[in-house]
Amino acid sequence: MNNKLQRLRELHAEAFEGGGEKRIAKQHEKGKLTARERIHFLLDEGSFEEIGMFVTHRTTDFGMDRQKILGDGVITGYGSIHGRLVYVFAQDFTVFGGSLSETHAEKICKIMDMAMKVGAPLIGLNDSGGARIQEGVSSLGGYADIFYRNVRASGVIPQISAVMGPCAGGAVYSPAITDFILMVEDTSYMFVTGPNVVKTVTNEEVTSEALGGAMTHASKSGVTHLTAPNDIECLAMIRQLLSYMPQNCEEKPADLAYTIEEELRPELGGLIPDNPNQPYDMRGVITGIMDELSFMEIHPLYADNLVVGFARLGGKSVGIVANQPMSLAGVLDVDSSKKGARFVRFCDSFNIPLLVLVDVPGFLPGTDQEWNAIITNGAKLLYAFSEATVPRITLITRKAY
Amino acid sequence: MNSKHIGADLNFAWPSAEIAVMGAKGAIEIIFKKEIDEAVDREQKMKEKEEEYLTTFANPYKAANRGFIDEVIDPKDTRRKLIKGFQMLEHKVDKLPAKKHGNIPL
Repeated sequence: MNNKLQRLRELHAEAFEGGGEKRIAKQHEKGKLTARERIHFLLDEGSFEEIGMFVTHRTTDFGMDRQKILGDGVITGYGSIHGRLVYVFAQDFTVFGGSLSETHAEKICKIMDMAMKVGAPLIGLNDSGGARIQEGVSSLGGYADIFYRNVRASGVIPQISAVMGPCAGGAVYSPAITDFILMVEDTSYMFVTGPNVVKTVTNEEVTSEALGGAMTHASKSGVTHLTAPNDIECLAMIRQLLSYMPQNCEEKPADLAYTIEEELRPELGGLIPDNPNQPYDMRGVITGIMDELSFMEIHPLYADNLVVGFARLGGKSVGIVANQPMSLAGVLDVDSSKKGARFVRFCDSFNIPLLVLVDVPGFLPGTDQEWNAIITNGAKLLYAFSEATVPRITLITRKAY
Repeated sequence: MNSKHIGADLNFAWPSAEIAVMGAKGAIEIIFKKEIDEAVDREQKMKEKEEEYLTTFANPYKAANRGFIDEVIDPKDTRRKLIKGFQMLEHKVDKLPAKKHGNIPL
């Protein structure tokens, strides 16, 4: 038995090494943590239990049968955040560049299926060079297996994706289907086709960062909801984000203990300027009303004429949608309608009550807006509010046209 | 956004609220077009009518008269009103009609 235990320990050690010291050092040089380090910072200390540590790929083509690494480039399992169960996968860039093989995808699908059966959030930490080319269509099939499950799980369990390295081609669609995307500044990018293909097809010269870096997707495309300056802060943001959510669509978010007192906020009386055309910061109204330091803004750099985010009110989780007079006088346009609609639908899916703060002069006029379908896009916001069955309270601070 | 007509449960307004179809300038050019066009002093007439529009509509009370607004509140009471409002709504039950799924205009 001792020999057999010895063998198990050796295999554990081998799996823990991932792609080896050199590649781990390279990962660190880029300012990135390894998959295991990321899981360590994401979950409650010591809560991680791994599933599928000894999985290896089954490919024999191109000499792959001589290259096998335990875990096959992704670490999967479960643990807890604020004491509540979550499932997590973390792609390991040190193993075959984190590329997605058939078995790599199978590992991810296995924990996704468990998360659905049990009803607990799923967190994906993406850091992958893309499909494992040596496997051909088996790898592509793996992507489809994953986003098929993402769609099935949508609205049932919260799904959060962090992009902490490359994420290109078919790999982008799994995060895109999940509820929230977070990107790490400078070390991550997302695009369907990279700068080389762009150059060949359209003759545009563009860097990876400009094409699909964190700032691009936070401000221009709105693909990412949040960005973080480094891995550790990104993981801390995921923990905070989850704190506002229930485990699944059948539950309510967890309340923090709170005793109602007088709750007077005299400073709120002085926030609206006498001149109706003078802007003010709606975030001041939000923080003035909500529990101290509880406001977490979502999409802060995208369509900033509408503010959305989570906060607590008397200890209860609330989703906030608010016009922002500081930007474009708070008008509704194509981007802010899409942003608002998606947020409202998330809150409604997961039983998070909605507070709507109104100071809106109407929809933005112009050919740009009409030709970009403000009719269809504005309708999204109306649709989302109308179908929401969670408690909904509106407060009109100034204009409601 | 989120009016009672599209299913909001509670609507509050601060006294600074202006609940109307549009701003005063745009509105008077439609409502009082003829009067303004025929006026001797166009500017003076516009100013007069704008003033009239503002006192009539640039407040939350017309909407509150109709029950579109449930309560006009002092801003300092906002937090208490909202905490109690959400508490009151905690056991709200509202279900969409049975369907396969809706067809949001994507």
